[in-house]
Amino acid sequence: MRLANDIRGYGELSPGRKLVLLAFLTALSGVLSVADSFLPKPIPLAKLGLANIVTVFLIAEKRYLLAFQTAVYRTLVAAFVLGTFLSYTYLLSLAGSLASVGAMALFSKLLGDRIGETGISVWGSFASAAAQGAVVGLFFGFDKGLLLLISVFVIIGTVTGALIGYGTGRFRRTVSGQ
Amino acid sequence: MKLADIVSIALTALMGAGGLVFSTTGAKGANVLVSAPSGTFTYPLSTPRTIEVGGEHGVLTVVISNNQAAIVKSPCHNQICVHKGWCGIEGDGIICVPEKVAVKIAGGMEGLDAVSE
Repeated sequence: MRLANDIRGYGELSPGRKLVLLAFLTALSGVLSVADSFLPKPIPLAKLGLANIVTVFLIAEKRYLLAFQTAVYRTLVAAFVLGTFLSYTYLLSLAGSLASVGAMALFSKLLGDRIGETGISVWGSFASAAAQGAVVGLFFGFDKGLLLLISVFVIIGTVTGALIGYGTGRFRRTVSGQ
Repeated sequence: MKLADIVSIALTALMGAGGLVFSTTGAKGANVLVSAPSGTFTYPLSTPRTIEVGGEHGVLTVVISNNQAAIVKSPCHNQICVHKGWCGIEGDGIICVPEKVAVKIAGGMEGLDAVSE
């Protein structure tokens, strides 16, 4: 699969091809984000996180910078489309994305091959919920209501993160022919 | 699936469950503090009432009933504040980020000589 090969051989790509790959990955995760918003949700904002397939794939391939870039640009594109740029919603989305990629990269670097896509994805979901809770807390103060909300998102995120991570792992092994 | 994956799932689920238990247990509150762009207002939880609060983009409806408070109506897009439901435990609260409105449950004033604002 050419896309997977391009991601693996990212270092050897020409600057133009790197830009094309980044644009493609941003568009792909953007489309997955939109598709995600059409799926039924148990509570608002508790999305399945389909766009994280791209992030988990990139982190598992040890393309940390590319994962960060894709996540930031995806948040930016979504904010322009939805008209939420520089609003609280955008700030929450950006904080969640950055923390999520940061945690995934950290666990991937720390544990190497001992952790799989499922574990990486679960920590990404956890960090996203915690970071968004921290941002809300910074503006409005921390209380039990906020902790309850974060806890619910952490539990839902554990389930959805594990599903996304497991699915991405299966997909990676399929494109690798393993 | 690797061992670290299973440990990761168990740890995050445990932290979520711990937070859930901690946030839903505690003493019953006595007052409701409603913070809005126009100011902060205090109401006793023991008196049922309906309050209209001016948010950033419209009016929110806060209801106090059965020693609990809830935001029952909000013009915000995600409606997370409405879905949060009723809260009555001291330290609990509801925040509507887009409308910049916070509803917090506070304890009584016993043990305090006076309150200065």
